[in-house]
Amino acid sequence: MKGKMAGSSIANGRMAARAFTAIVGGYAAAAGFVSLLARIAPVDRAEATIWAMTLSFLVYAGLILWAFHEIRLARVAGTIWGLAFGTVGCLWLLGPAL
Amino acid sequence: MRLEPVLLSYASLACLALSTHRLRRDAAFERLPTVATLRASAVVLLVLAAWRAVHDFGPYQGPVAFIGMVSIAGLPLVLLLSRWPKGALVTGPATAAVGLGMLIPLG
Amino acid sequence: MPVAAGAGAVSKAASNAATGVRQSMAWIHGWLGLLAGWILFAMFLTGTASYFRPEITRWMQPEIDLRPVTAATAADTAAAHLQKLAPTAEQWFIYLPDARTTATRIFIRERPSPDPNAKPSPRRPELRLDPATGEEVTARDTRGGEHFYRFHFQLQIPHPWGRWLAGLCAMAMLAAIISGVITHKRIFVDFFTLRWSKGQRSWLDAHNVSAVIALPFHAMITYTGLITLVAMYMPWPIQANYKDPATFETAVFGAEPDAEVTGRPAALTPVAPLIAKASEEWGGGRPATMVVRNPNDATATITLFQSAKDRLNARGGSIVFSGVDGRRLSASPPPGPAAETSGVMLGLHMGSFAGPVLRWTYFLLGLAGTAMVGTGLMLWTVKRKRPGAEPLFGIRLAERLNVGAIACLPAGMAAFLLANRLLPATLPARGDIEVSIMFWTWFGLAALACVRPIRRAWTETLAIAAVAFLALPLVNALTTDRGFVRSFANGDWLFVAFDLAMLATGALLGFGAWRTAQISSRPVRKSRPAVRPAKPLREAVDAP
Repeated sequence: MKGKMAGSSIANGRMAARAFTAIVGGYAAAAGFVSLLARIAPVDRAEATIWAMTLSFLVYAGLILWAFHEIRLARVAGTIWGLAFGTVGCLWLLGPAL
Repeated sequence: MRLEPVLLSYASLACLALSTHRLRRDAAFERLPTVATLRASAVVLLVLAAWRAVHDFGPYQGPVAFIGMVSIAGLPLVLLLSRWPKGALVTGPATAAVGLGMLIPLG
Repeated sequence: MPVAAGAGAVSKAASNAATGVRQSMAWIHGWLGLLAGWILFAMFLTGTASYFRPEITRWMQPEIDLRPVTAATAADTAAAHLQKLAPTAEQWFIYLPDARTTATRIFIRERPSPDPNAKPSPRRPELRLDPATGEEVTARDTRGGEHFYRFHFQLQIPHPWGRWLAGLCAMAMLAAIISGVITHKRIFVDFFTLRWSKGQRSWLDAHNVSAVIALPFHAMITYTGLITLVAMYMPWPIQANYKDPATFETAVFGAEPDAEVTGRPAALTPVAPLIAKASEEWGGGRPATMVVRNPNDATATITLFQSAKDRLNARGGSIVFSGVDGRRLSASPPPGPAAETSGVMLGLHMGSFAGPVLRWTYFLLGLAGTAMVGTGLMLWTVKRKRPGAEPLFGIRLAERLNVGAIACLPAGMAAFLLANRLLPATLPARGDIEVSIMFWTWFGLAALACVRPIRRAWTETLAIAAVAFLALPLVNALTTDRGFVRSFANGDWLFVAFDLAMLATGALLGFGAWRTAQISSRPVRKSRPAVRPAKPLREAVDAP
């Protein structure tokens, strides 16, 4: 990973893209993922909502760490943004429950 | 003051410290109890500390108190070991004695 | 990975992968820790001080010395005072006193004018009452312990940005804890290892010990800290499930009584009996807050909220009574497992359930967390300095920011407390001036430290902070009638403990100043490139 820090502007750009994906994309993916779980979980609405909110930070932290661990940037960006747009899209199609 | 969980935790951690390789080598004690004995005592003291914590602070706060107090007990022990490793041999049994002594009148 | 690999190759590949994970986690741990570290240090230190929020406030208003009374008496006297002050207000808020906060606090919300074009009536300030008599208590204007508490998650940055920044740093902390645990393979072997005066090795030891020893606390406090503001940070599950977020709040916390005022007058029921009724329903639990809606109207209601002082779950229940005849109208629904979990997380973070022994435990654990962040920051710079070489700009900057956070923030906190004693008690807006003095001292000292050689900067700022803390008991004794000797004689243990804590803090900072002075007096790392490596030299000097 250290090699990425050094030198060229391409490496810096890739690092910036990775950090943006981790922090902003990771937040969007975590928010979308737990919201979708809260929406479709077959338990009490309020309870499902609170569980989703409570566990969301663990998902977010996991995504951040993975985004910096995985070497292939395309895979990181694809997975995280895919998860974000996929889950938000599902939620949009489902609409609010109550 | 309900401090016996701290004292018992300290004694337990002192036993654990004395059972580690580095301390046994560096501190060069004679007739130190065996590693197995120390570990067993550590477990017994830790269980006693947990029991006292639940007894003193109730079933809900007790576990919180126990985990917090084990952590707190570790800090002075580590500072002591860093300056005077043999101190564990002196303070460990002393805190165990005081902690266990506090249990007797309470039953 | 070769498909036809044997068992040995597979396990080797697995261990390579483990090494890879460890390396990437170490890398991210270092950078997350550095970038969020200075703010996290300030959050940890002021948050730790906030475990004594009511006590700090009481110390900062030494004029107030009230005798405790029962909650029922306090509620009665407060209601009587509010009847005189604002009998037709929309809402009264009464925050009942307890063993730690001795004054009753009241807040009045005026009824908005029916004319939509009228200017909104100015917000009434919160008032404090003597719970025994209901008379208003006046004391010097100060933010008190509330200042450290607010700064700890708002960072003195305008809403909502301060809270967002604090949340981002807390997320960095959470990721740093997880990556740190993955990185650190010998977690229990290193548990007891702390070696002094060995440069980088010592900082690593100190970082490991302070992190590992209180790891349950660090993980708990970070995660539960995020949970305290979860409704702001992660409201999306509510959005996904409810068209109107109010529906969610009603489902979890119960419906708020929301009757339109009728204008038909009706005498307000005595409030003291309601306290006993609520306490009975809560199995001995105490009420903390009383909200009276539409007092002296036929639609009056009185809501009692349960105190978190004797339970882990910080979100207590509430009961609504009729304000006319004291009938019990409704109560909040019992919490489900998820609501209970998040309430307990909130309670664990605030620690308001903790009695004196547990509160000091919390305080010391908070200091361990502060030490973990501080030693991590030190380790980052020490690790990257090459002996004999002029360090890079980034490292020099990090070193200065370390001085600014670790040594100058305590000095600023001491200045805040000193200002409380030294500013005239009647000075207008003195509460705001106290806060300004803290930040001027903190950042001013940090700026001054930038123009000093780095070792000198450490010694000088730490010494200034130490002197400021050591001066506090003296200044307190000279400016109030609650100095150490008299407090001790009167059994005023809050003031005795405060003086002792200030002396201990001063001594700790003084020890830091002394250590850095020792190191800087050694012939190591002069600006002229030294040929000899620094490490063995240091060991030679340190040998007893």
